[in-house]
Amino acid sequence: MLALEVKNLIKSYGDVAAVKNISFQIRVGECFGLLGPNGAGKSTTIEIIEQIQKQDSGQVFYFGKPPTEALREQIGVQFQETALLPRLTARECLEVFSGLYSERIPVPELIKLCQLEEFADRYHEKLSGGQKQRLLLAIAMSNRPKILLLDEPTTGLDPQARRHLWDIITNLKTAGATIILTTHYMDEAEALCDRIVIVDHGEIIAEGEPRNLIRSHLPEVIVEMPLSERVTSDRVKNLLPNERVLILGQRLQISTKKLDQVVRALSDAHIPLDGLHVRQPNLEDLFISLTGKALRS
Amino acid sequence: MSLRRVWVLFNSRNKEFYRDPGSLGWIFIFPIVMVIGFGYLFKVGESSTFKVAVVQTQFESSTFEEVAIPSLEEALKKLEFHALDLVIAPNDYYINESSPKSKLAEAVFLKETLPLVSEKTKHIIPGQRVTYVDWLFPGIIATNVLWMALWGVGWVIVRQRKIGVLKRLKASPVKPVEYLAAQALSRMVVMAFSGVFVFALGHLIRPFHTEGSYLTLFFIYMLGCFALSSIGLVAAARLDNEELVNGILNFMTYPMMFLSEVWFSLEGSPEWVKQTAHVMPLWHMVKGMREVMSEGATLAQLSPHIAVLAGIGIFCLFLGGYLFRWTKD
Ligand SMILES: Nc1ncnc2c1ncn2[C@@H]1O[C@H](COP(=O)(O)OP(=O)(O)O)[C@@H](O)[C@H]1O
Ligand SMILES: [Mg+2]
Repeated sequence: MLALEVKNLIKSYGDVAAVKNISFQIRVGECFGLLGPNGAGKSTTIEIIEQIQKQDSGQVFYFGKPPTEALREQIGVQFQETALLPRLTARECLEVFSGLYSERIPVPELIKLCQLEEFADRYHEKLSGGQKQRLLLAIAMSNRPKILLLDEPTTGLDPQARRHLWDIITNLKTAGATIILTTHYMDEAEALCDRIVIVDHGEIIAEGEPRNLIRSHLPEVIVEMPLSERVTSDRVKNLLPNERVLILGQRLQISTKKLDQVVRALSDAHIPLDGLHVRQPNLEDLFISLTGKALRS
Repeated sequence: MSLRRVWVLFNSRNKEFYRDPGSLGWIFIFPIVMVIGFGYLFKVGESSTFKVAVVQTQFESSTFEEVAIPSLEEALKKLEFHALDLVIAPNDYYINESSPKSKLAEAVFLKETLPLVSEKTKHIIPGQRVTYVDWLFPGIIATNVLWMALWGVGWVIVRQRKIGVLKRLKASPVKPVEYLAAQALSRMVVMAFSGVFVFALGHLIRPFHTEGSYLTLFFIYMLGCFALSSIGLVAAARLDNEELVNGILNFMTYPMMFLSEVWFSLEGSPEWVKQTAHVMPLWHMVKGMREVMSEGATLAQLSPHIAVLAGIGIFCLFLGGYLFRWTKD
């Protein structure tokens, strides 16, 4: 059963075409990711779905129907940037927001779910980044939403705080929640999402399950090594004319299906192999191979 | 409309207000400064001009501001209520015994017209026990809430829109009217307390005489607060720029303040000025309060003011709700 269907969304701000013909479908119980660099049009898309912004054209269907007034009771929303009512504690924020809905999760339960105990009675203005994001997630969940829409829930957090949030979202997934989230972290999409679309310049450039996407686009493994006087891009390209060789900052990257041949060629040419590192391709590599640019530049 | 949602938002706005030492302090400091300051500055007699009505006769003077009033009866009524300091008729002149300013006016008058003085008979009318400060007092109360109503509603909403609070509320089931009602109600509670506070403070400094009922006085006061808050809602309906709303509120406040006889009487002003004053909610609020305090007006006698204030309040409430947008676009 489809929880959400988006058909041919288009939206411009003046001259800026933020969303150009985006379509996708989300099943009930799925965790769906909109992945893309800053400015790709993720927030615009998700805010159109939330009925915060109006699309220029295209449709959104919730459970097969166009959105009505009642929709607001059924979705849980976390904006990329949001402000809460001033001078309230975390607990009071939860009380206020859950008080606005007819269906609600009791506040103590929310506090437990999102692990807010430690700072529940602190003013929300005084919370750290990770604590604030957890509070916002709790607020988004406070009405037992049928669909949870999270816009960059972990942006700006340190790795530990991100992990913490991932754990909470993973628990929600296990409990059967339907979630749509946006992110510009590839690892986040890989860790959390059942299915993703990759968005760039307002368009979908790839869609599917993260592992399948990578496998179908990038059957290779990735060999990385630091650049040095003896390891130059020209030299490596001459040695390996049939492989894709990329320079990323101070690193050299070789995508190949024939790892053993590559390693042999390098060592035969007396290229030092210390610092060499072999890994499976990830979404980051997929994005680079699709667009020719790094995601976080 | 869900009363629960109004209640929830009302409470959160109240908390925001009383937890902000700045705005809470200001609510008390402003009226204290006003009451003490004005009580001192406008000490009777320090006001530069005397208002005098010259009825059916000639009188030239640079010291007096002449007010044209055709009938003696009307002039005496105004004298009684301290709207005039002196009334000069062909053979008589009148002062108000309870007004020190009136006595001062008499002294000046006698000095200026020494040769003629024997020709006129002095009359002392009992007058209301309303001095200039008594008269000024409702004006001070009204000025105090003028800022509280317009900024406390209008500016606060615009700021919440700017920082994104309203966008978050838009994603919830809250309806604009619920949010707006909560904002206005919360502010009116603050203004109710502030009004009582200023009144009590004024009494401490100098006991006032209130001829009519306190309840009626409170009613007309709250109705004025309601009308002004509603105007704040209209000003805040769409803007997301604090400076702009600040300018607009100032633009409304100053004419309203000067035309509403808050600090000085418009007696003697051109007719169009007086007519303009009559569309100002502040004028009706101040006038209504003065009528209760000095003339003991009842609700029935206040009905023109009540009608105007309620009309403006309800109209602007609906207009504000109609124009309202959560976000700028
Ligand atoms: N309110 C707005 N006014 C004008 N341009 C906007 C506005 N919001 C977003 N944009 C532009 O639309 C494009 C997409 O933005 P956005 O949806 O926020 O991307 P993302 O969330 O993927 O970073 C960007 O080029 C951005 O500058
Ligand atoms: Mg965004």
